[in-house]
Amino acid sequence: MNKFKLLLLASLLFNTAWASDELSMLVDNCTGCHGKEGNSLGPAIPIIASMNPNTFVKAMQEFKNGERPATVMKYLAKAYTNAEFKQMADYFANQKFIPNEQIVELDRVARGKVVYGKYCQMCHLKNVYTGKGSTIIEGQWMDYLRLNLSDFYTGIRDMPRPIQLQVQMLVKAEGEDSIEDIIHYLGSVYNQ
Amino acid sequence: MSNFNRRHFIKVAASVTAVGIAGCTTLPKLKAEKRVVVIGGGAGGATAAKYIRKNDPTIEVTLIEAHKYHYTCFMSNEVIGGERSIQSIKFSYDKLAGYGINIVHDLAIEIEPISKKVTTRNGDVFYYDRLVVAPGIDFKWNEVEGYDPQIASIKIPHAWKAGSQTILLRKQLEAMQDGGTVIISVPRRPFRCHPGPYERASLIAHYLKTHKPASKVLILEPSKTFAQQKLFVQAWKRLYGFGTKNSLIDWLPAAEGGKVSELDAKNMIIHSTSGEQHKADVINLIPPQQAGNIAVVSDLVNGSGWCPVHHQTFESMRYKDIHVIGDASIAKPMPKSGYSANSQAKVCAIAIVRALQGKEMLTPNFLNACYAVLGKDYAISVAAVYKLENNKITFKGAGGLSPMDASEEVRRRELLYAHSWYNNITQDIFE
Repeated sequence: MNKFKLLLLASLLFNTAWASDELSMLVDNCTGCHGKEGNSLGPAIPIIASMNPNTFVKAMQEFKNGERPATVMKYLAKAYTNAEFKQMADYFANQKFIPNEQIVELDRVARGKVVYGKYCQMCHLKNVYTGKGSTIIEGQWMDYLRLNLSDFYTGIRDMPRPIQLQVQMLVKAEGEDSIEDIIHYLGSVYNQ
Repeated sequence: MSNFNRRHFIKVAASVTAVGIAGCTTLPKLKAEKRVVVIGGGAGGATAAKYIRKNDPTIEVTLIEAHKYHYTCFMSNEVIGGERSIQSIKFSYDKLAGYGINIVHDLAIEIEPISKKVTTRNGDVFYYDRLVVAPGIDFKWNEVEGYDPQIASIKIPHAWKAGSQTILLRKQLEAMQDGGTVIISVPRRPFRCHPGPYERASLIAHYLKTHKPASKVLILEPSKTFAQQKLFVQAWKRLYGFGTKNSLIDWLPAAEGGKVSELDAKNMIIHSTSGEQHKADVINLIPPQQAGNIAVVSDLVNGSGWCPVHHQTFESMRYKDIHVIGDASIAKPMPKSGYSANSQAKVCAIAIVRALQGKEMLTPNFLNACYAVLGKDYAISVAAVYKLENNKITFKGAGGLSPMDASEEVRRRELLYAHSWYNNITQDIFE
């Protein structure tokens, strides 16, 4: 085989393994802050690898419209179209979610695991998204979860109706502190 | 092979073996057809080297960087303020080597754009098909009388390149008696990181507030205004009593003696162009800047001292097949920031890979996201996406600053995001 054919073969091989230049041009802007393939090193910027693509697009639209509280995302989302949101969403949905070890309190983890199983897990299935708007939160960064749950709870961010109902039930039955227990449980999941 | 010298060939052979061991690729064992040389291993150069290999592993990439370790300028003000260790902003090139990049610790001293080769201080020669020049900044030493590299290295740090200069300034602050004055002298624009001097003033004030509360920071400003001034002033009022007689920060614009003409290092006095004298215990004199030296001596700069480039590809307007990225390039309206350099490097990597593959360049877009840490639980940000319009980088409204009058909680969150941002951007550059 001559050199040219070998090179062509190599480039064909690599084109399938790597994102196209067009896609790179789009998603490489995200990974500077959100980590390699969307696996943020945290602790406050979330992992977006394996994120449900519908949730991703919805989040970007809400940032763009100013419906979701944000610092920089409300500006950056304005640069992109819905079609571009969809391309980004599909790319990150296909990346492996890689959680990190975090500092947790073990008694909270134990309580949180029970409560999470009872109120949250049916939608936030481990390592799989339901296609209806839920996404992986087991192994997500605790600071990020804390900020977002706090926004939901204080009403700064509108809670989607199903989450609102679950959280109301949860707090009524288990107390407000159980939210922190859940965060510790979610932060404890890193050996997948 | 005739255009390889022997030492270079050995290094390339070694890098090919490293790829094989790491098992990254099952690339057929070919002599590299296309060669890219990258000068400078900072935010721009390191990212470019990595992304060229990532986007096309058949291209041989050599990164020439004089230093074994890189200290990031971003977050170095936290080191100066005593909030983080120097170790935490130090990065090696080991992980980049894992991408099959041939890393050469040497200083590039000459570029020959006709024969397309780079010569280093050790006398090695590297031929390229495309060259990336990412040398950052160098200083215009002759603009402040009495200031030179020697004085900077022992007594009057600029600390505008991180590393030993950062440590020197930190040590001087630690040694200063309470009641002392720290001068930060701001250079004329453009310079690396326009909000940087004011972030530094904030974090020094933060240190003084708890450790030496009778001391103060005096900022000497060669202009009338500065970047993100309203946000900084609001933070200084909230945190450091700015505007009161006990303020930990004073700011003198040009009209009030802020424009520096001369340094008297022996007596620790700065003279202004309007005749004022400012005495201090610690002086951080940041000199005016231009593109890094290799860009200047290689005729890549125009009369401004910075490098004009085509914004679609970051190829030099002066020499073909040479790309200049980062602080050294003229990329307005993008700021001279590490994040801009990283974003430009990714675009430049795509441009080079496509050119070497014989493909047309795409329409690029760029992103910048910067944080400034101003004190305990307090940071602000600026972020924007830039598009290409009429072959010029253009800001189309997708971007902005932290809002004025934001709550404590918003400022606290920006600090959390700043630290996460740092973890991710440094991984993107060096791993």
